[in-house]
Amino acid sequence: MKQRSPRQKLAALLWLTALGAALLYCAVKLLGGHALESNVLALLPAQFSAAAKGKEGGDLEKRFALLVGPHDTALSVAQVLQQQLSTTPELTLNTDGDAFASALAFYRPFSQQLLSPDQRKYLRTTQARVIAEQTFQDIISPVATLRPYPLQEDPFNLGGGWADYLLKSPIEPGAMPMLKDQQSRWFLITGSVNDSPFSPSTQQALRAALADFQASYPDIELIRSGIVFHAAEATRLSQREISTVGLGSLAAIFAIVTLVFRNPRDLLIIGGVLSASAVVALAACLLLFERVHLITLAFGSTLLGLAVDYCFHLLIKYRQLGSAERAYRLLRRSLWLGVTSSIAAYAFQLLSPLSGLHQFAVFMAAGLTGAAITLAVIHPFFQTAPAALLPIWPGLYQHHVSAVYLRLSGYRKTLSLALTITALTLLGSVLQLTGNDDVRTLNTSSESLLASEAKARELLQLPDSSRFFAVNAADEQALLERTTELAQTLEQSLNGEPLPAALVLGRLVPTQNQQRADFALIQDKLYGPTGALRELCQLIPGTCSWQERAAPTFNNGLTLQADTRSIDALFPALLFSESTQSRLMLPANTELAVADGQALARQHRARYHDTPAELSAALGEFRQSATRYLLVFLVLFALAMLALYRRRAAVPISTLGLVLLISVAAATSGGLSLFHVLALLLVIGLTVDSVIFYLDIGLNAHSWLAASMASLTSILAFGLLSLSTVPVLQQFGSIVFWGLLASWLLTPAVVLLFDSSPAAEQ
Amino acid sequence: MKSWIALITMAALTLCSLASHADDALLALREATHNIEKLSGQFVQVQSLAALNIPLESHGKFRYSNTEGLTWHTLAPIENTLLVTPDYQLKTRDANGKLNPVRTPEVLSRLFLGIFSGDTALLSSLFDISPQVAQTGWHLQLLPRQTALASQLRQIDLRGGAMVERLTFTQTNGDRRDITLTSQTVVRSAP
Repeated sequence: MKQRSPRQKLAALLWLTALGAALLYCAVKLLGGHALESNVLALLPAQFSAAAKGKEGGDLEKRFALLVGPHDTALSVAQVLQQQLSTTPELTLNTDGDAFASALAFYRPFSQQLLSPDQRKYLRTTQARVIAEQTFQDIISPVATLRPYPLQEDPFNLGGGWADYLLKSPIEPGAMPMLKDQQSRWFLITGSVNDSPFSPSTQQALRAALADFQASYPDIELIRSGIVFHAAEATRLSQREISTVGLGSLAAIFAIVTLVFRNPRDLLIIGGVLSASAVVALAACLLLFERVHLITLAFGSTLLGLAVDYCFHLLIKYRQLGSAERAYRLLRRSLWLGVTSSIAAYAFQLLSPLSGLHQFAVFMAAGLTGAAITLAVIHPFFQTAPAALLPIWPGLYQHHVSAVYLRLSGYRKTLSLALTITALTLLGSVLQLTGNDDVRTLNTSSESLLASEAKARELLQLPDSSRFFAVNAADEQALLERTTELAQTLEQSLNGEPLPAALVLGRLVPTQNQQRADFALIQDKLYGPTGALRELCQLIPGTCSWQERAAPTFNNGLTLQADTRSIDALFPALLFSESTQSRLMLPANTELAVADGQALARQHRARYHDTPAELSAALGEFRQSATRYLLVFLVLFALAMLALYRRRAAVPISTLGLVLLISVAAATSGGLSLFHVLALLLVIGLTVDSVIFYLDIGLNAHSWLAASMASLTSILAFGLLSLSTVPVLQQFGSIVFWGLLASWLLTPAVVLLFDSSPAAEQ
Repeated sequence: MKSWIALITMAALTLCSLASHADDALLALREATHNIEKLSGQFVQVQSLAALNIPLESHGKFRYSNTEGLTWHTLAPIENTLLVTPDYQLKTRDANGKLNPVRTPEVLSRLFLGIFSGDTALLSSLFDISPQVAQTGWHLQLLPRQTALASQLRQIDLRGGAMVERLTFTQTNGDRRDITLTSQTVVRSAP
């Protein structure tokens, strides 16, 4: 038995210590919580994730709404759910009247200087006597309209009219807040999560409560709205996809290793290398980034497919030669060349501005390095002589595969011509490809949740927070004026459809000039010598002593400097405004073309943002930059191959070119996306590994078997992704499937047909 | 020991009596409004408003039909007609006879129509209903369950005998509205 050198022992000890430290670091970070991220926006550059938040930070994203229906009979059930959720410590439910009462209290000191457009028009065009009569009718009506302030303070109920204008809401008060939808009745529960909506414990608590509820009341319909529900689905889906690929890979590796090696020790070695690779990858990501995104892990699970490739080559060569050290020495150059080329392909993605790509690149590069170092360190410890492979496996190549390829080699010129024509045809179709950069491919929510969200938004009349005008001005009054003018022009272009006042800053806080003008109109028409108050006093018996008290003075306190914190939650325009900048959101389902929005914005010196369109454009830019970096890598790869293999370089270059063309042409019928490009990196990694091993150690039964095992495990694992319901994962899976299939079949053919070196003849 | 048994028995009897009292009062309301097809009569409304030093009185006539809803026609001191449709829309008739919608929370029109139609399920969903001692007939007190409604309305008192006869709305700001229904004629559908 050969003794390991002290140097080998020291290297193994150091590496094991490093792995132990990395494992400990990962465990501490993961157990501490907040190490994993499921927010899709976190993958994008900071300007996009920041755009989704108001001045209250994450408050907007913490809110959720549940609608229980669709009949009156759902009321008692909704009350049960409300009670159940109110006892969930991760949630805070809204008490129904708070926000409304806060708004009434906020506007109370200004009730005699604020008029809605309808109120203004009414006062301008209606005689004082008629105003007095209508006010009197309202006073004696048994079904009263909202009168928030006392009669002596606001005899003409200007406050009620203002509240009606600002707080125009589809929500009906009742035993529970209710929304109507033709014949349906929906009872509303609103609240917010106490922690981040992306917190797994919060998601779990809400999901468990709703699952219990739905199991108890299967006939009741539940409409859900809020980021927490989408985040929970994204988490669940990512975990499912990671499990699919991870378990698929492991099951395929287990089955193939068991069939070919028939030895638990080999399974242990492969398990050890893959575990070390995953630990190094995760530790590197956690070290360099605050949080690791679940989508990084989903894509990063392709690491298993690449790392196992090195194990297969080493273990098969070990069995062939009977010595692990000799096998490693023979494979060392190919192994490190394969690792370096793969790392280089991933490292190019670090140049992209997409933080998600940075994480992916770091994860893969670190994981591949970890796998290669582990193999380099542990192979001297493979002691017992390996059992020989069953003859069926090498025989597979000798009797079936090489025979076919060798027969084909008789038609070398014809095949060369056919492959060239195929390559040129594929190149032609690939060059015709358009981009598919629709940001909705990133969406991980189910159709039912999206439909639920859309229904809730329609019923609650929530604004479209993804499309808005960003308005800036030199000072506060100019800002208020500009938002009002922009809203008026927008209403004209929307066929006169009025915008909800809650969306327009200049309507929530009218300019001082507007307030003074309204105050003057009110003074003249209601409280002046010939005003409606005198007429009202004629109608109401008694002394009408409050007439003297109802002579208000102007209050100049309604500005953006006022403390609006108590009502910010009610009005989106306030939530997204500072002293010189504001945001005018569009009502949901508003049809406004991007070009029209931009033209309107230019007219009012504002900027129009259509976030989905901007994100799609950004994804397009990222795709183009990722493709450029990939092309640069391919050129450098070709130069490196020329330097290393001289005339034989045609084999790896043409193989890789053909494989890439086939996979792109086969899997991108809907257009090329960023995620297709990312998947190509895995295809490149495995194809380069195979071709380098074939060139360096020769195409023979053993190297073919190792390459086939690596390809098959990845095809089995990632082929599953092509069945995913999430477009981005489906795109990734289909490229990997077609690419690896082409690589597995084509690489040996190209080597056999066009490489005449001695190694190939083995 | 005997005294304990007597005490427990008395307490149980009192609870049963209270429950029975509540049931009786609700039953009386149900009976008063049972199978009403049409109902008409006159009303007198007296409002005690904190801002006014004397009560504000108005009177008129009303008509309820289970197919058309409630028409509330104030004759004095100013003429005005309100209509609450069966789907809880509130409308007012102008000088030209045209009906104009009035924006008001549906809960108020549901409540008003619910009292005339005797929809006790609806009333129970909006209010905690408790019986009160009445010298004649029955008396129910309704306390709003929902915060937004409770911030405006403190309670409603319903009194009656064979029919609903008096409605009293007490608001949180101290204002009070007393409506007395008189000369009622009723047409009931066959049971």
